[in-house]
Amino acid sequence: MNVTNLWDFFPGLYSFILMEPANALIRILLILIGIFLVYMGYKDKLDPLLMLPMGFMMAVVNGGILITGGELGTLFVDPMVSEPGKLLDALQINFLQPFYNFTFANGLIACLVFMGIGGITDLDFFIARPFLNLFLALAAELGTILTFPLAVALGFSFKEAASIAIVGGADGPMVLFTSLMLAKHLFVPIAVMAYVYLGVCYAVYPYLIKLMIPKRLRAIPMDPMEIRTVPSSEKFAFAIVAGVVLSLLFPVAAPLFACFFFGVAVKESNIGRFREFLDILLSGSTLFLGFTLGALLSVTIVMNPKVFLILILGMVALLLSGIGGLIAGLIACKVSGGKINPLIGIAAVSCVPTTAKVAQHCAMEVDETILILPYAMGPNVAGVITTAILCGIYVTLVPLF
Amino acid sequence: MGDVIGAFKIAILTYILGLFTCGLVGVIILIVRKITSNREKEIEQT
Repeated sequence: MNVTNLWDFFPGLYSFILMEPANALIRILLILIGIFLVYMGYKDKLDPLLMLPMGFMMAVVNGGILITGGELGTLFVDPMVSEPGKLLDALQINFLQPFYNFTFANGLIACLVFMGIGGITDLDFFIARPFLNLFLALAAELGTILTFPLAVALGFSFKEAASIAIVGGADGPMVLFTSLMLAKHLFVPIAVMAYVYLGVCYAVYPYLIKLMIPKRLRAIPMDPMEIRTVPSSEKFAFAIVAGVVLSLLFPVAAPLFACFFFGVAVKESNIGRFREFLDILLSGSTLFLGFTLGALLSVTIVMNPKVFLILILGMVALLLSGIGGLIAGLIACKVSGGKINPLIGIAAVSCVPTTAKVAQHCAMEVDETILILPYAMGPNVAGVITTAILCGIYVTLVPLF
Repeated sequence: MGDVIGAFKIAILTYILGLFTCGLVGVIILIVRKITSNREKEIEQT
């Protein structure tokens, strides 16, 4: 038995030797990052629902690289395959390929997650003060708007730039949907960066808040009992009408609007079996979303020269959106004569319910008795709706130019 | 440079359309609120 045959017993290890040294190092780094994400999820420092499956698969897929068809690859998934014959082979060989082609490539997974989110979204706080919430949410789209020309200035096409800019809306399903519609070739880095950064929001935004909002304003109390109780019939009727009108305005994003508002309608109509199913659907979709995203993070796929720029632009988009939300919060505070806690502005950066929790957490650091979470949920839900609207506008408008 | 200016124009147009659509969503909420509260009053009266 010669040395080469010995390596044949361990193709995963042998693939390290076949790789460029730089790629082998990045592969090791990706395995370590995957394990780190699992640890952060396990310790609840980052969202465990996503980090556990994504980090685990990221580590595993980079371990499981071998030679297939004369090239380095995996038996997990190949997102770049499109030629019918090769696709048929891939569907029979790669165990996640059917899942990727029939749920990721057509945006179905984004719609399923969005339907599940609709099923747990409480519209009470949004509907109680719609114009204040929409004002905050629109301001918190600053990153979604400004990152677009910034990305174009850095050499991205309009379609690529729009897919990156939507990260500023801090809503995973919308990022998936936009990148699948406009820039499929950049879908993997954009989607993964978006989901990792959404977890980072939890860690970075408190520092932004401390930098921008004085302590005395963070301590402004808001009485949750002042929020009007919204009847279920009103929320149900709004979901139906808004779903139809927004689909009429932006047919390209109609699947997203349909799924979200249907989820809301199911919740408000209180059909027990549907609600139970939506809970399971959201859990299952999130699990497979993280699972497949992690599997897409193989070194053979992420070695895209544009990845580094996408990483920077994604962070800029989220920071700008946070700044926009907080400025709007300060304006609302001033206009209301100091009755509105400006921290609810950060909750307008969507990412339900993470940013609302960040607002509550930062308020409690100043005064432990403060409860602003119900108020923060209003702009939080408005953020989901405005991001879906901007996603619809980008997907419709950008291909026209 | 022309591309960047074009991108700015698209971004501004997107924001204006977003503003208009969000305003429309707000108006829908007000109309729905009006209709449902009228219906509830009618039910209470009967």
